[in-house]
Amino acid sequence: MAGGVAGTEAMLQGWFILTVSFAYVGLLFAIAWYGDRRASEGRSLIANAPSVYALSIAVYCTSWTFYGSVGRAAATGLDFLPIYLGPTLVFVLWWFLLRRILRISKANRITSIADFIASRYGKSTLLGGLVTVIAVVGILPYVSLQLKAVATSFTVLLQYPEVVTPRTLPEVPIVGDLAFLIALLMALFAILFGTRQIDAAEQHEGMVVAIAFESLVKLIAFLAVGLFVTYGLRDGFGDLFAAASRDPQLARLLTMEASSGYPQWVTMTILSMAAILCLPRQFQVSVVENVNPRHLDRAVWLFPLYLLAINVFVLPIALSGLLHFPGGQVDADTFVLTLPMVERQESLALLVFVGGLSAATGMVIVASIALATMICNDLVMPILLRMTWLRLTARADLTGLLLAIRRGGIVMVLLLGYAYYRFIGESHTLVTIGLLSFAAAAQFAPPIIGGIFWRGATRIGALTGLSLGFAMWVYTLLLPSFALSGWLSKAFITEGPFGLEWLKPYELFGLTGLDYLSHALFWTMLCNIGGYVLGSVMSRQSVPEQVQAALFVDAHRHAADQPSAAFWRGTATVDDLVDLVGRFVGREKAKRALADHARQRNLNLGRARQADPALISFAERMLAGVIGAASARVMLHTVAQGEVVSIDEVMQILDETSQLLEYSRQLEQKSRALEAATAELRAANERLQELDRMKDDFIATVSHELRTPLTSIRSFGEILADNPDLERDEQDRFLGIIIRESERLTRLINEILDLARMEAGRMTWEMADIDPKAAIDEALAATAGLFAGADIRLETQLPATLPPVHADRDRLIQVVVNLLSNAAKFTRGPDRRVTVEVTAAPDAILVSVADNGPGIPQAERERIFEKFQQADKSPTDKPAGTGLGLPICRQIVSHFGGRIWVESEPGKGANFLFTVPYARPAGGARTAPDKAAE
Amino acid sequence: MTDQQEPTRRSALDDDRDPRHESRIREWSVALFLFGVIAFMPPLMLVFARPAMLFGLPLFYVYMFAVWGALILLAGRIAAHGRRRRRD
Repeated sequence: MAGGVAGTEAMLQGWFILTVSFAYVGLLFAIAWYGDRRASEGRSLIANAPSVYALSIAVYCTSWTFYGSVGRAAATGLDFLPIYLGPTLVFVLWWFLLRRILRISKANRITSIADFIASRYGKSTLLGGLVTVIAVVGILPYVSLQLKAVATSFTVLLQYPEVVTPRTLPEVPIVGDLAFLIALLMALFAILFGTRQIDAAEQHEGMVVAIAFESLVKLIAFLAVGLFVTYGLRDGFGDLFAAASRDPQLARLLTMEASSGYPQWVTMTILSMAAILCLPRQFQVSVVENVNPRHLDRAVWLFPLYLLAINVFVLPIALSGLLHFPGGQVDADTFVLTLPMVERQESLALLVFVGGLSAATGMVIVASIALATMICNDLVMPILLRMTWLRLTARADLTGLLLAIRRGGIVMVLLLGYAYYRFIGESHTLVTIGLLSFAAAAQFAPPIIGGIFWRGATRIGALTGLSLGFAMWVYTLLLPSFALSGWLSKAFITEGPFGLEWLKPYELFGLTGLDYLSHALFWTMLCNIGGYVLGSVMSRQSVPEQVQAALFVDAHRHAADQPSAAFWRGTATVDDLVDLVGRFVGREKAKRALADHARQRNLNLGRARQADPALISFAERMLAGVIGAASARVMLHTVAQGEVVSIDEVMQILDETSQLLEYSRQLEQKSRALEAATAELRAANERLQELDRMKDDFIATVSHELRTPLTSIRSFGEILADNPDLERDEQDRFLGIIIRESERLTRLINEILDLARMEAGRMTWEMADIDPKAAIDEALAATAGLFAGADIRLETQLPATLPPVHADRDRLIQVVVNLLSNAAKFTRGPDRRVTVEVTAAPDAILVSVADNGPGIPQAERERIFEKFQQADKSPTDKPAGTGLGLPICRQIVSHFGGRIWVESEPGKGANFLFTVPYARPAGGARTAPDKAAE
Repeated sequence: MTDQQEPTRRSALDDDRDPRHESRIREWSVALFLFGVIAFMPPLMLVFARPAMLFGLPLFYVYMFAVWGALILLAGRIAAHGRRRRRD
């Protein structure tokens, strides 16, 4: 850096600075040209470069940032920060806002912010035009601010090695000329790289690459100054801040003491949050020029990081400048440039100048392209298309006209910006002008944010809000700025128009105590949001509005680029469509695009004469990409009679809202579930009825079953009573039987309870190793009376001894008794006989109880083990058993680990068999599979 | 619900297959936004706008940039999670 001192006089001459400036601009042209060429070769520089996208968003940092931040910091401390905190906060919230806006815009081929708002509110041309007017009027001061910055920095640099504040300089013709030259060069650049051709995607890769490059240059230049000031002039941050805090005036800048107040802090944050979304150039780079929505993932942190980096040194430079130039003889807006100058760092000063130039040109280029697109698509074209006498819709090729309008728009924006700078801008500081534009752009925030979250917002509401907000902006910000620059009488501010105190633009209706910016934000937003909400509530949406509202608010349901099936009444031929689209993008290109689209859906366009609805819809979207949604619809109407409505749209119209659709879907699901539940209920009901019938039978049979032991007891009792002279032994035997039968009766009642318990799985088992022979003997004894009374021969074949089994003694007896009484019931014929046979199988005893009754048919053999089922269903007979005996037997035997089944030959009786496993040798306690509990 | 549920294996933010993942990112981004608003706006900010020094730097300056940096770091992490989910 020190090396530059020798060539002092030679280096910073006017011609040299100019040469460097033009060389730099030339480099920009080269970069943009290269970017465009790569894009046309299909090797895009930005398709896979999310960082380029993030850097292009940094077009947010204009010369206002580059020079103005330091100026503001020198006056009010950290007060400049909200301008960058706002965008950071918006990017933090990217999932909600940016991602959504991006998705909607891609799906609807949005070309500008005016297009976005117009599309949302039913493709309204009026609204699009209004947004365009507001944008142009609001952004012009901002453009002029950039030209002013370039001119000022050039003037200051020209004075080298003297450092003079530009205000004290006489008007130098060349200064005006440089700003003018730059304006013209930028117009040329914008025309070359912003309107070289008409393309449906409306993306300018070369321009984006150049803007990203400019962002890098301005960051490097600013960081270079910052490092020089902090580490070159001082020993780092600590030293610089220590020096500053010793000066009471400077120490005020380190807190909020010197700031413009908290309301303005909040106001500026809100304004900058709106600006990052709503400034036409920000919308252009972050939405329209976005080639891949995933790039947002990178920009979410890289862009705020860029903002942080470019702001770290703002305060140090401001403090350093104030330390160097005490007394305010040098304009703080130029500190970035004058500090290197006073230290004789020519190269650095030149770098700073180039950095400032890049900050200014970047903004000018993008803003002019964005504004020109809006002017063309949303202001001029709709008007021209409506002038039927121009017969524009019949023209063969409209690309030339479109390009001419856009180029004219760019030149007009830049010339108007220049004029504003020449006639008005001189008197303002950079920040004041910038905030003016921010406040204008903020007017778009309610219709945009409301538009993507509030389905009910209407066109009337948006029109009302925007008009009122804009009018209030003109009154509270623009007109006073005219007054300040001498176009109007200063009395307009101090005394109000026509001396009406309550109309003073900075204290409207007597609202005092706020700074002018917060004051303006309050009134504009009150009118804007108030008008928007009231207007929306009080008006009704037309059908196209409903359609668009649904598309925007439910963007997450409509995946981007999804080929939407369409419904359409009316006719259009393929040739008509090719003609129409061809007029805007060139016939060959149109033909190719439509054919591609048709091929994707497996259609051969060559053979089809009538265009199908999906193709018309595609053509409309393609047109919308070129001339905006509103104009596209008008154009399409000229060839396709009738509305083009996609299936989604139809659904939404039919159902009024898709919420309703959602409800009806839920309702359908519920009614299906209800049907299933009803069927289940019906089945359950049938089973219940069946069970009910079984229960009735059961009650009857249970009482009958209870009677059996009672009969036994009664008959032995009668024998005893009738034969008092029976032998003592016989009496004792009978009495014993009576007692045991009574016990069995008790057990039978218990059985019923047991069944309930078994069913519930709460049965208690008294399992032990028992002698099966004793148990079977007892069962035989218990039923002996029954057999004797019914004259049935009971034959038993029992081995002398049997190995012990693991079982519950009472239950085992219960099983045998059950089977015996069953057999007794079913024996038939003159020779009634029941045979009980016990054999020792290898691992279990096998008990068989056979009768010579009618037998059991094959089909019944398994069923009889089910509850309440009986084989004998002769209507004349009373129920022969409880229907509970066999099920209980099966449960019990299963619990013992054995098996029960029946063998039968019809006509020759039935043979019930069951097994009970032997007890395990001592040591291993047997655990029967606990099936009964299941 | 046909989706397999393995809620314990990974944290909610990491679970790519979880349909709630998106809403989790959304919640994080709102939480971060609110954190930023509270930290950057009065009255909390005023606590640090005092004539005090920290590591030889003005407390207010350090506070603003530290919170800002933290915000960027967290936003980057959340965005990275979103990206990884989409890659699957």
